[in-house]
Amino acid sequence: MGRAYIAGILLASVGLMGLTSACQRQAPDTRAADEQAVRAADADSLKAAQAKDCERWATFYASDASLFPPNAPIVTGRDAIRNFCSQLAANAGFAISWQIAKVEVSRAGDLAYAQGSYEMTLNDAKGKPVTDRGKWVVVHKRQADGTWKFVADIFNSDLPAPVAPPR
Amino acid sequence: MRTLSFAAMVVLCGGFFGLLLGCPQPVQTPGATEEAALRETDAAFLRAVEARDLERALSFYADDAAMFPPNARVATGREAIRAAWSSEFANPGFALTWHITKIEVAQSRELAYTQGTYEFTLNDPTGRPVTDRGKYVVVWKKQPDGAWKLLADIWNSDQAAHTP
Repeated sequence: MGRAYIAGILLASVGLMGLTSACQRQAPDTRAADEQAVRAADADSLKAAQAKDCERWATFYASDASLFPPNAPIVTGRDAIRNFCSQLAANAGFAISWQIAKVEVSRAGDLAYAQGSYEMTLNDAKGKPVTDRGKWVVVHKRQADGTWKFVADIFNSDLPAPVAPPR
Repeated sequence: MRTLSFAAMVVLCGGFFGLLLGCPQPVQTPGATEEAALRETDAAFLRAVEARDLERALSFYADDAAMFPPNARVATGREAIRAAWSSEFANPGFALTWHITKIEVAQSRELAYTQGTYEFTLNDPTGRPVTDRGKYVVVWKKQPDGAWKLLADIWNSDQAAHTP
């Protein structure tokens, strides 16, 4: 009888310790892997943009994401972002490239941001290619399915105004 | 012996339930207090800018912060950011205000971002005030002392670019 109680107490103690440590334990640090996932999403979205594949390009954005193009109103939602891409891709001279300069991921692995530079060429109204160079910041958010998506994508030119982005 | 063991079991079970109830509570509203702290910091930063208080405005940036002004190169570090703000503050027509439209804090409470709209007035070379309206994104990082500071600050105009 006494032995059963002692065994019970021991079991309960082990369970209690397990719970306590579960409460106090920090989630594993996944920042290095998260950074790789963010960089991979960035590289894949660049490939889609370079291929003028706006359907695929839009899939890298969260459904409620916002794109902040210079000299134009904010573009919110994946469909609106896809349309924005289609307008750019319809320009005969469209060419784009960008590089990541920095990535930082939250300790919880739910939020990240990247910053970098870009180079984008579009034909102006006369059909002459005009190249813009600038910088950007993208905020990434981990989605319920574990993938990283862009939630905010903002950029602007390094070139002195008024070098207007050609339409 | 039997009573002692029973009492111990009761205490342990109580501990169990206490843990079950008490443990998940701190993560139920992860960003609520941080969001309030961040809004307060943003408001204090805006007040410093409105007062053209250069040193106070700069104190809201992290040491390794980067500022991304349109039509200019990235300004990295507090000295480069100082140069950018001091040239704006020197304009007699300077007026700037902004509003947060979205705020999101990481569950780990050390990284966050805000997005919003701004209205920015400067005098042109002829002394005429010119107002620009646009949108911005700021990435915030909580510092070891618990203060939220700007890590990346970028914006652009909503208005059509001037064609030469």
